[in-house]
Amino acid sequence: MKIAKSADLDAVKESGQKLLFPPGVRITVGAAMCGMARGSGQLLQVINDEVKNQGLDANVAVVGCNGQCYAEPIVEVINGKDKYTYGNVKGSDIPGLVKAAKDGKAAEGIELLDTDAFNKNQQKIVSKNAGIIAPGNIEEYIANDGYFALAKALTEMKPADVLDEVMKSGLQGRGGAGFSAGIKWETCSKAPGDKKYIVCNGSEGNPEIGMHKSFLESDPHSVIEGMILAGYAIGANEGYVYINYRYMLGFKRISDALEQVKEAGLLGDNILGSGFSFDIKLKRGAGTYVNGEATALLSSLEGSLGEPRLKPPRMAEKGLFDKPTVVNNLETLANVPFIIQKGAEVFSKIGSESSKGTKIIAFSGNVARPCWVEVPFGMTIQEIVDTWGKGAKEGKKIKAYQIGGPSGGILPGKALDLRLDFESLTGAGSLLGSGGLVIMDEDTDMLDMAKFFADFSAEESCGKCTTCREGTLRLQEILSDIIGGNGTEEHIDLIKRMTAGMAVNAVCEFGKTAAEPILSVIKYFPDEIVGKVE
Amino acid sequence: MITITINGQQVKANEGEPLLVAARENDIDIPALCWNDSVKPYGSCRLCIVEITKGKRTFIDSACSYPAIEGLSVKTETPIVNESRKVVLELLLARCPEVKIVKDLAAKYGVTSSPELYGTAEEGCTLCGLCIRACNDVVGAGAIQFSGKNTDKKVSSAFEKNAEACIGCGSCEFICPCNYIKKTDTFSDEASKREIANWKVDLKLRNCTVCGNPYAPEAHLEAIRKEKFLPKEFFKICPSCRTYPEVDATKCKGCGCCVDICPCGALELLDEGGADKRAFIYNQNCTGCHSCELHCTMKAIG
Amino acid sequence: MSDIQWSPEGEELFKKLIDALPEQMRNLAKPQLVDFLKMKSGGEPVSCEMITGMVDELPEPQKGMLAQALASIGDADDGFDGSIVEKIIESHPKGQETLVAVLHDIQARFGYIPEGAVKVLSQKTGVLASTLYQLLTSYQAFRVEPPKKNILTVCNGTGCHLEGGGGLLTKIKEKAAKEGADITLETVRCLGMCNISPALLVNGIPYSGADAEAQLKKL
Repeated sequence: MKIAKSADLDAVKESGQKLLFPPGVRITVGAAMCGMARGSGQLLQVINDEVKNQGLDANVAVVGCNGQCYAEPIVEVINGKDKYTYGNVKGSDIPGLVKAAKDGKAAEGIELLDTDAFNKNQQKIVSKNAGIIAPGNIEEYIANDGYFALAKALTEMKPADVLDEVMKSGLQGRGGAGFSAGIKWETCSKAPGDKKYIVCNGSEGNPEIGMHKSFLESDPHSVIEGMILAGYAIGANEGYVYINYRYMLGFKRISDALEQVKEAGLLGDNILGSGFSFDIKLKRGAGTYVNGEATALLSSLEGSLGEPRLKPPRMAEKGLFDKPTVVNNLETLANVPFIIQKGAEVFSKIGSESSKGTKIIAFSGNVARPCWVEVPFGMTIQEIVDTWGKGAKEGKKIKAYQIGGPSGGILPGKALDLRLDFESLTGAGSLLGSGGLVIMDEDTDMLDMAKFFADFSAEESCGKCTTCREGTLRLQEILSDIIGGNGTEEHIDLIKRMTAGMAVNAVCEFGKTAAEPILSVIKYFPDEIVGKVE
Repeated sequence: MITITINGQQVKANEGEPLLVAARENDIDIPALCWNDSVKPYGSCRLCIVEITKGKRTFIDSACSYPAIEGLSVKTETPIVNESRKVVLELLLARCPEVKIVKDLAAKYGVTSSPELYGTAEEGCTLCGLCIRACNDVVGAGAIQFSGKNTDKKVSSAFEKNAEACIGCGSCEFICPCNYIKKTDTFSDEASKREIANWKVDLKLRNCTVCGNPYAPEAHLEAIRKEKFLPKEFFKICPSCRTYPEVDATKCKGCGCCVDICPCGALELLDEGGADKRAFIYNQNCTGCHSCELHCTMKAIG
Repeated sequence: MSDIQWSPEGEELFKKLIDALPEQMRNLAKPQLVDFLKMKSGGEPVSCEMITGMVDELPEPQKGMLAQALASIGDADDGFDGSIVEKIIESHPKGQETLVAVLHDIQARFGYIPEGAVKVLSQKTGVLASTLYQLLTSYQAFRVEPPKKNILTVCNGTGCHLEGGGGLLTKIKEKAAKEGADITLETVRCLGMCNISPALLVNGIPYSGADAEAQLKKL
């Protein structure tokens, strides 16, 4: 399949739609990491065998995750207009399921999921394909309007127009502090030099962020399309996707996707006859937390040690291989096709006053329903937790939660009324980060959590600067002392004094914010510490 | 030259040079442990942090890495900077309580001991990385590197075994501010050697063929010789024994024996017009072995 | 299995190889491997070289699993074979930026990064051995020691910690520390399997904490 001009896309779209809505039956199996964890790999085998046995004319597709991880493995049967989504499917359910599919009715004795109810109030921009299309099949991505934004940009827009559109949309980086994507791109596009790079950061090592990768495993093409568009806008001809080595599935999916898109001619020389060429290289990280920090990531990409670099120079001027570079998070890039296709105005109407668009929020911890959703900015955390997470397990109270990784500290349950946007979270002393929402129920020992995070930062510190390396070690010690019952006011004072020093002088954000979880426990849960302190 | 303001005082600086350099050139002291002007800044000790105002923005950064830019305003001792510097010194002191430079720096900033609640270690190395940068950037040997992360980080050779790339030059020992790197030369009639225990190396010292004294590691001399394309015999004689022979032009008949015999190719016959040729010695290639002198039948060299 | 011919050494190595595989994979993998060898040998007796060579031709994850098993047999890789590393280096474009990828491949082949491989890599790429050692020791992904027979990857992410991952980790740590325990324990910050937390991988297969108990007993 070769797509040499925009018109070819329409033909592929048509054939792709036949896959999504075949004349016969389409059976999809959720196989992102969350599905694999529940055995969807084996289940797929059973389904294939059973379909053959029963002689059903069915297209069995491996899809990603639709967000309902709690119900994995999920098997969906699409039969003309009817759609049955089964959850918690076991191997023994399959004969009945296939039989029912053949008969065109719902199978009995298997849990039916109400996906419409789950999707209600969500706003799917970057995850619109997740769990629906087969990530391994470019035709299905195109069938859902994939690569049409690219075609539009390359045929109707100048690079400056694409940049302008992203600037107007108000898109902010989804990886951490929420820096404006438009400004980042503009700085890089204005930087002198003809060789520039786009780097996609898929290496965040936050300890709660894994499920967030479901989205990469489910729809790798949206990230690729976003990258090509970004390259076009800033005048880069080369991009790198950097994936944490632990995300083998995501790595494989994006690696397959890259192959397909190259074969189709949407990546490479003279894309769609526009004269614009772009190439993407895929790199596997080797796992240090600090690699998520953009400058450390660049060092790692160059094959040297992933330590944060000293700034200036800024990355937009001297980044990868000393060339101007934009580093964007996966989710940020996946928003770009939507913005180009639908326009900045449509995008900027979604979300809140200060934060535009949507955010993927992935639940973990003591949550009743581990899942992930894509919601518009401006919703309260409470709403999100109630609607999708369904509170804490066993009806317990939520004592605290964390959003934005350890750097965002821990927030108390009473702060659930915070709005989900960059401004309100920063105002509350937290940050949005990558959007991992960890629920801690009433039984959580907050000192234990503080220790957990202290251990985390002491272990993950790269050890370059004195403050972070030695500071995180001492924090660990002081906390162990408190937990052991030897805590005094002096301990607390020392923590405060030392962490204030860390916050201003560590080299990178990891060190600067390493003490956030401990400080927030002192701030919001003084009672738990008082008991341990004389 | 550009103008920047340090502690309210306007000073001249070279554009782009580290603020630390600009300050020290103007006799303004900023403490630093991991800085040395022969190597690239690394910014790891965090002692040289200063408050920088650039346009409307005020922030804290390390003076060893931040470049001097026209109009910058720098304050080296604000309350936040001082407090944070103190925290760093306390942390360093907890790690290296017996290291002199750490103790001295700490005392200078009013820190006499690390907080009692800190555990202590007895590390001799602050991980400033100067030795690594000297070995890599200046010497070009690259025998040592950091290994590990967090507090497991240390300076080591590959697999913590004998550093094969080490030439024994001793630059690491020379630059180390903590006196942590131990270089020992032992002299004996059979084999003199240089040991650097930190990198588990044990290198043979070369004896001078004139005075017979050991004067430098074989590997070091070989490395320089190869880098500078010097003849094999160049380092046979130690610098103190090296004397250069001279040609007495009145006695030299231009036979060329000396040119053939010179192991270093330091001699050449120069044509002085007509039938006259004279031997000429290029001192930069001469090791002072005086072979030419011994072989000159005319006794023209001495 | 009828029409496959074995050389005596080959048969012995194959037996050892199967024994060295994680228990739950043995029955699954054996017939597949026999089929593969049958196809490769084309009636010739299967030699040791064919078996070791097979590792390079298989796809992941079988490749990694077999390589590990081979490494654990020991004698197969005792005399370090630099040509394997050379082949891996040649399969990547030149330049320092591919170093991490090369190291990943070396580890996939040997189960860890042997010192001999670092020497070859340093010679072939001109990257200093000390620099390579730095990469190996500061990146979590790489091992400098051969792994034990069973690799347990325990999630130590926030979500799993809250769901009892801390206790699970302590328990496994104790088990792994016992004498004779054939376990390499690795922790990871999030496996992306928060729906089964506390999650762990036993030789690459995901389990939830509670289900893992039975598996752990077997080890």
